[in-house]
Amino acid sequence: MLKEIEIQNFRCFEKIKISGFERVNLIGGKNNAGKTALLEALVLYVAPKASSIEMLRELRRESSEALKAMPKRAWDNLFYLLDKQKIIVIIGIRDNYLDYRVEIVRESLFNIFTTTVVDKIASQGIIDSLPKDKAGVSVITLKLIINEGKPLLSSLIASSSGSTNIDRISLDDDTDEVAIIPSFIRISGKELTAAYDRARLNEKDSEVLKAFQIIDPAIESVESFSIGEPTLYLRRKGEKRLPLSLFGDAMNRVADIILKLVNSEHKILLIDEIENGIHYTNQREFWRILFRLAVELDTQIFATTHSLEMLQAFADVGLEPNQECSSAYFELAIKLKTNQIIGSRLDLETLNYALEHQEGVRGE
Amino acid sequence: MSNIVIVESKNDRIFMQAMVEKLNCDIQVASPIYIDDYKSLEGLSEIELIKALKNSIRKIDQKDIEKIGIIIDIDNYSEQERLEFVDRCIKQVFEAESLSSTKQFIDICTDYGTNAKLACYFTNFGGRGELETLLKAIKARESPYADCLDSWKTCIESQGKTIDRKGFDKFWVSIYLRYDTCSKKEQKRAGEKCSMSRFDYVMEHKKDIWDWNNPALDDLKEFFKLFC
Repeated sequence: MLKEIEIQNFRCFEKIKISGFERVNLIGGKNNAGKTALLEALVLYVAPKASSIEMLRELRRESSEALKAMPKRAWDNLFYLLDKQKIIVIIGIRDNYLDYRVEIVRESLFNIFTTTVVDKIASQGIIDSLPKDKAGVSVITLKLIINEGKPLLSSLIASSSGSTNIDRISLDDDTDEVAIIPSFIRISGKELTAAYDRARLNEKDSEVLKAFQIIDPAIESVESFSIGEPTLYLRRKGEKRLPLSLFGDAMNRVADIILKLVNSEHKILLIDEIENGIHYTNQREFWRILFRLAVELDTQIFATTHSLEMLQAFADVGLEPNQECSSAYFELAIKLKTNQIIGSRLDLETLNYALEHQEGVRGE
Repeated sequence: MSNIVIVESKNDRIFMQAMVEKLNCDIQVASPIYIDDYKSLEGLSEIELIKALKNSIRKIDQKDIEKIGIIIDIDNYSEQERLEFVDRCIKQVFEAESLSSTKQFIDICTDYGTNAKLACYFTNFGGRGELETLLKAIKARESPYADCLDSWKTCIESQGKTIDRKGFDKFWVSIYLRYDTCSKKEQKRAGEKCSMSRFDYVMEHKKDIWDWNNPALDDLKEFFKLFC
């Protein structure tokens, strides 16, 4: 389990260190305080490979056409103040005492082919796929250094042809992408059904039904059908089956969250704006499911929120008697003196105290 | 840059805020910690003060608050007992020097490495009491209704009954507000305009029922001047 993270020169963070992560972590703060950027840093820390950067570009809806038109600037947005001369560093401390350090650097095309990362045949294939004018090419490399060992490298090349992924050539790593739920993108029915079938194979599908029943207690069953497009169907008591897409955003989002949680290979789930679509009367029960599953599945959850109701529900559930799941709240705010973003940890008693006394806890 | 003073109750906050305005200082009197007037500070209230101090950490880190004040009642404790109580709470939250006297700053440091100063003051008159004891000492108007409570106290004591100092002082102030300083017009809505439960109204509209130059306030003024 991750206990601490330090991030340098990434997105809006010049340098930030946040300590005291627990099993379930809720993050709040004003707009542009770095909540989503923190989740992105966690993605890169947990899976420091080129495909993770591509995933972040998709989540941010960064256009592939823009990358082709301006490949030199393709990776600028990752760097604090767009300063690509600096090195992005993400260091984590885990409770298993493994010291992981991730570095992200701009690199020359020449450099990546002169290292041992890419074999000759593969490198020729990559070079052939690039446009002839190499001047318009930019490369970014992710380095994972474990306990000060030899770096494991992974690179992405941006050119007028698009991005070319040289993903973790030296690592035999076929794990899935990090489970992240963005604040606004709705997952496709096909992907959701595939995730449900995977959960069913692992005997975890009942958790999805329990989560649906928080939103709508009349739901009796969930089934997947692959007639034409794979689709999830729900049946309410005494009614006919209906496709999930007819049940609104909350059901789709809850399904996505629970399925990513039960299927997560990285034992980490990242949720941006967790309150989206969930009515306030259901928020406590939803937290109870997340707290229970986080313990049962040995998974760490990081979620962001803008919602005071979601925060109060989080504190209430976290402080319930016999609560087995540890949790903490983190407030991101700009430190006046240095103008840097800092992360303040509030244990649940202090969070509840601040909420009771109507003191701002969201960076005000 | 604002400083923070942590107080014990809602009415403490209202009174201290009025005092701060009189002194023309930039001090934010924080939400009161609502230590129950009648509960021992050794129990639940120690937890409450620790929560209030923990809550101040993020303000020190984020807002660059440089000075933190703590004002709690001395009640029937000695100053030394109260200092030990506050010191115990501070040590559980900050890396800090030991607190050895009131009205004197000690250095504290948050886990984030931000430094600040902290000082405390115990509300009292003559080494005992709480806000009401102080208010009774600084009354600025004739107070025949409230003063006659002394006869009432003697009377109940002659009947073998007692009323403790804390209860008596609270009763005295409530009678002073309800009868000695309540205008005929206000009498019609005395619950809203002449009572401690609406002390905010009293302090907004009738500040002059207190003698702000009374020497009983000198110590408290000295404490606040640390923050000015």
